[in-house]
Amino acid sequence: MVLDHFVVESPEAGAVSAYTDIANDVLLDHNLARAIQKLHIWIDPEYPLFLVAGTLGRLPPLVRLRDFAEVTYAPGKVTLGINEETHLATLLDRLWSRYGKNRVEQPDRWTVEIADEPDLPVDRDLAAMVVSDPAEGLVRDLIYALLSIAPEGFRVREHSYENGRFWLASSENTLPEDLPERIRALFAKMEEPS
Amino acid sequence: MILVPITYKGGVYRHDEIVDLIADLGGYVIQKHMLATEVVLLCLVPRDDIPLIERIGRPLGGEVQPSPLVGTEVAIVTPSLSIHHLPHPACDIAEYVRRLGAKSNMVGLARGYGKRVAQTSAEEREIINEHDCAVFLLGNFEHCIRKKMEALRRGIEVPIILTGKPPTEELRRAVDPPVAGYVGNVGRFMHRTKEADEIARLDAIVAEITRVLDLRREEIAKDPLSASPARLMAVIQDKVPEVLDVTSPTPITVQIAGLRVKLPYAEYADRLRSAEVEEGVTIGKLADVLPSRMRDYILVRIKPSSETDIVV
Repeated sequence: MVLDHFVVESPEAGAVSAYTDIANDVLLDHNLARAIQKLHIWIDPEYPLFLVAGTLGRLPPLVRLRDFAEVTYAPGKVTLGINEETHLATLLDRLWSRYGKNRVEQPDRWTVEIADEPDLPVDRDLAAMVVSDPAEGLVRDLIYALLSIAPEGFRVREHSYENGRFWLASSENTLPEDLPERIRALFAKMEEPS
Repeated sequence: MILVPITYKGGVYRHDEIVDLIADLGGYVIQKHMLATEVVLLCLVPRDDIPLIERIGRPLGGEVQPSPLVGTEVAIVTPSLSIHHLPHPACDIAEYVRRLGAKSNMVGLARGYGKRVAQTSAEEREIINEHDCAVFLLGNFEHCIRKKMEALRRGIEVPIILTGKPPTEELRRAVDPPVAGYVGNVGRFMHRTKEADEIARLDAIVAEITRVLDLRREEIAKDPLSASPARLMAVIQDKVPEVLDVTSPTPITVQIAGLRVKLPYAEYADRLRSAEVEEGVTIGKLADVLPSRMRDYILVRIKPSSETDIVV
């Protein structure tokens, strides 16, 4: 696995190689190795505490309606010609929540029609609507993968993701009070020139 | 007559001749697998007759290999059944041990994880104690193994083989009082064992199980059993033919000093007790016929000859 920064630290030397292999296997199995840019893992079996911090590489772009459908405005209705079904379920969810199920019809597999009513008009810039954010799924998969890497007994957990930076802490006991400092220290180590 | 465990692998064509030959020689077929055009027989045969079986099996494409674990039931104990421990390494080890002839059962503990909270339930302990030995697959930290083993070993009466990431010597130092066997450099990993060094680790586990079970056999030999488990298996197959209709791969699992019969205890225990091994000698006299904690099966524990004054 080629990351810009990939370090596993632990007071037990044997465990370092074991957890390097585990992290490697899990991230490759979940197709996350390409998404992650930096990863730093710290495991203390004494406390016990498992900390991981990292950054994601280039995030996949937002999926907008225009990326997979053509929007045609006609009097009384707006027709969406679907070119690719991958995001259709999410699209229908969004249209139902925005316009209501009674206004959204799907006469066939490749067509969605929205009733355009004068008092509740359909957005004229519907093509730019964000249908899904692949980063959301990526982060969900990432957290699941990190929990698979962490020792199983560490059931007290906390995690965060913001602007491509993520961290996860887990322990069998209450998380330490100085957790934010420890996380900051891990990020600082990642920033150090190798 | 000393019976030794072997595996016979050969074609399905005329394999009945080998089965008959083993019976004629006084041996027992413990398990028979039919895999498409191949048949695998796990058997106990007289040591002196192995060359004869090889000679008769050769024209039928048969091979004979020693399988030290035939006739044993091994518990592979893993801290849980979650993604952290399954399918690797627990399933890999259970499968490898099975290839060498043992009947392996995976025991996934409900609360075997965590160094502070790890524990076993009474049911788990009783199930593990029904086996010939238990292989505990622990993780990567010596510190955790030391703490957890204190709790996990409590109430386990069968020999324990401990595996973990620290080297064997460190495992030996970490656990006090000592357990029966140690295999280091295993630990938790999350990929299939297929590289040469990984297979070598599996071989090391099998070697340690074999060593521990040989010691157990030596211990039993000092006060021999009233009957050989394989012989009782043949008696049960003869007197309680319903067992032949059981769809389990091993309707009767042979252990070092007992048997697990996969029939409902409530219905069949009395018939089993009254089954005659020889004139006037019933299984009930030679062994304790007990309900197993595994489903509703029957566990037969053969008594030593010093207790029954009978050897058949």
